Amino acid sequence: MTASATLLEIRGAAKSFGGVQALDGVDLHLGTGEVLGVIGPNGSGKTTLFNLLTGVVRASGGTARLAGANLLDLKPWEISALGVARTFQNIRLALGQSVLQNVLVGAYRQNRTSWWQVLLAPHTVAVRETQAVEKAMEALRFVAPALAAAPDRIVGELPYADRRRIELARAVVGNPRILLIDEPAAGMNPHETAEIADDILRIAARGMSILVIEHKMKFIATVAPRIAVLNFGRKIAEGSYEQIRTDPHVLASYLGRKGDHLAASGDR
Amino acid sequence: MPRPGFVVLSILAGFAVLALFLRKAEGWILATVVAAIVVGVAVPASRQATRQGLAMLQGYPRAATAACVIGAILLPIFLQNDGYWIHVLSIAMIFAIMAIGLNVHLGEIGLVNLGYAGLFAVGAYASTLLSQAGAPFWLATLFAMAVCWTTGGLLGVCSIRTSGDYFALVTLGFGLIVQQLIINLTWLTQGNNGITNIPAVTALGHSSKMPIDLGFIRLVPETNFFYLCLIALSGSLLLARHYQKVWIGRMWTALRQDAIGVSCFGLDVPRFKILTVAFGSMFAGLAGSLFAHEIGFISPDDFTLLHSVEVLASVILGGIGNLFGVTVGAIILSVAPEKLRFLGDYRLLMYGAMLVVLLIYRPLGLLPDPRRRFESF
Repeated sequence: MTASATLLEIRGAAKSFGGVQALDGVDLHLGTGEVLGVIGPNGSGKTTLFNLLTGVVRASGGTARLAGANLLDLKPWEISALGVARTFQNIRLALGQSVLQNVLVGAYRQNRTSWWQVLLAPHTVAVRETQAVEKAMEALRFVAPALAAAPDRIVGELPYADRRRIELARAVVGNPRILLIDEPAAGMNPHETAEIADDILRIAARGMSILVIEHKMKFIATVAPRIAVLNFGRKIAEGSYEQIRTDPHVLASYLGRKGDHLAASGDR
Repeated sequence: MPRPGFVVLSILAGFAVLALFLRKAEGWILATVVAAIVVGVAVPASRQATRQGLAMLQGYPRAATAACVIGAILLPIFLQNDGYWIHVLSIAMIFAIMAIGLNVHLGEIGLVNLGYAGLFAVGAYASTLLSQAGAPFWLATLFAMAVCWTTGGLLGVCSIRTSGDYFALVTLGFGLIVQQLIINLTWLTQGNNGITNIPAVTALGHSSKMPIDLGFIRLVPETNFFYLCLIALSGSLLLARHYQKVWIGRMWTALRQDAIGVSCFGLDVPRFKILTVAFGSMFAGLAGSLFAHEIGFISPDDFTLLHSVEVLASVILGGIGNLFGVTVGAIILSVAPEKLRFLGDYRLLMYGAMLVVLLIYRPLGLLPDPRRRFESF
C-alpha cells in the first residue's frame, strides 16, 4: 500500500488467447493521484492489460476493483461510466472529422440527451451541446493549446504528434478518475517525446490517477515515480526507476543473453 | 449582381431547364444530352467544377435552400401542368425519402441493408390497412412510421451480434420473408392480388383526386401528391440533418470508424445501433404510406429485392452520407428509366452501363460526403 488511498486494485488478472497466456495473474495497485508506469518488451501483455481494464477484451480470471466494482465483469461503456478513460496504441480517431468533433466524443457521457429530446426539446439539446463544446475546448486548451487555436481543422490533415494530443484531450475531457495511456511516445522523435511527457505531467498535476504504458525507459522514468515491469504476461519487477534498472530479471528480459548471465549470477 | 442573387437565379434556372429537359428532350437530343453528361462526369476537370459549384452553394446555404424550395414549388408550373411528369417526380421524391432513411444505415453507421423494400412494404401495408379502416391519412402515416420504427428495432435486435456484411445477409432474409408473408397472409394482405381502392387523401374538404384551383391556373390532380411528397421530403431532410448535427451524428461517424473506441467513451454500442437502425427504418414508413396512397394500389410486386437494390444504388450513386447527394441520386435513378424508354429493349442495359461508368469515375458518388475523405469504402 502506498501512502495515498488505493483507487484501483488489480489481482491475478489473467487472459489467454487459445494456448497463448497473454496475461498470467498480474497484481497491480494504483493510488489516488498517482502515476504508475507499466513497461515490458513487445508481447509482454501491456496492451492486453488495458484491454481487460476497459472491457474491450473479456478476462479469463482475476479482479480489478474500482469503487467497489469489478471492472473485469463490466462492458466498456459501464467501465467508462465509473470514470475510466483511455488512449490507444494505434491512434483511433475519426480522421475525416474536425479536432473539436473528435474531442467531443469524449464529452459524450456528461452531455448526452435522449433521442426523444433531440426531436422534442431542441432547446435543452442545444444547451447541452454548448456545454459539451465548452468542456471540449477547455480540455483542448489544457492539453494542446496550439490545436485549440484551430479546432475546426480536419484530423486527417494533422501530423502524428498532434493526433496523439487530440486523443489525450479526448480522454481527459470527461474528467476521468483513472486515465489509461497506451504508448504515448510510440513513433515520435525525441523532441516530441519530451513534449508529450510534459503534457502527461501537466495532466497528473491536476490530481488525475494515471496508468501509462511505454517502451521507452527514459520516457517512463520522467513521468512515473513507480514502475511495474511485465514480461510474458507476468509482473517481474516493481519499484522506482533506479530499482528496476538494476533488477536482474528486468535486465534479462530487456538485454537477452548477457542479462541471462547477470540474472543467473545475481540470483544464486 | 450580388452572389446570393446569382445562386438563387441559377438554381431556379436549373429547375426550369430540368422541366424542359423532362418534357421535351426526346430521341437523339436526349441521347446527346445523356452522353454529354456521362462524358462530362468522366472528365477530371468536372470533378473540380462540381466541388467549386457546391462550395458556392454552401457559401450561401440559406439562399440556396430557399431557391430549391421555391424551384420545387414552381416545378408543376415549369412542367406546364403535365400530369405524367408530376406523377413521376412524386414517386421520385418518395424514393428519395427511402434513400434518406437507408443512408442512416449505410451512410452513417456503415450497415448494408438489402431489405429496405421490406420495411417499405411494412409501412405501405400498415398505412393502407389503417386507412381502409377509416383513419385519416396523417394518422395512418404516423402509425406506419411507428410500425417501421419497431420493425427496424427488432431487425436491429436480431442482428446485433452480426456486423458489416452479415447485416446485409440478415436484411436480405428479412426482405424475402416480408414478401412471402404478404403473399401468404391473404386474409390480411389479399396476397398476390394486392390491395386496391386505397382511399384518397382528404383534408379540409379537399381531396387528392381534385385539381388545385388557384384562380389563374388549375393544377392537375397529380399536383396534390407532388406537394405532399415535397413536404414529406423536406421534413425528412430536416429530420435527418437535425440528428446529424447533434451528438448522435457525431457518434454515428465515430462508431462507423471505430466501434471499440466509442464504446470506451461510454457509448452503449449495441443499444445505439438498434436505435439507429430503428430511426433509419422509420423513413420507410413515411415513404410506404405516401406510395400506397399515391398509387392507390399495392401488391407484393412493388417490394421486391430489386427495389431494395435500387434504393441502395441511389445512395451509393448520389454520395454515401451526403443528404443532398442521396436525394439527387434517388431522383436521377427514378427519372432515368422513364427518360430512357426510347431505347426500348436496351433500356435496362443503358441504365446499368450508366451506373457502372458513374461509379468508376465517382467512387464516392456524384456529390461526395466531405466527412469521408479519409475513409475507404
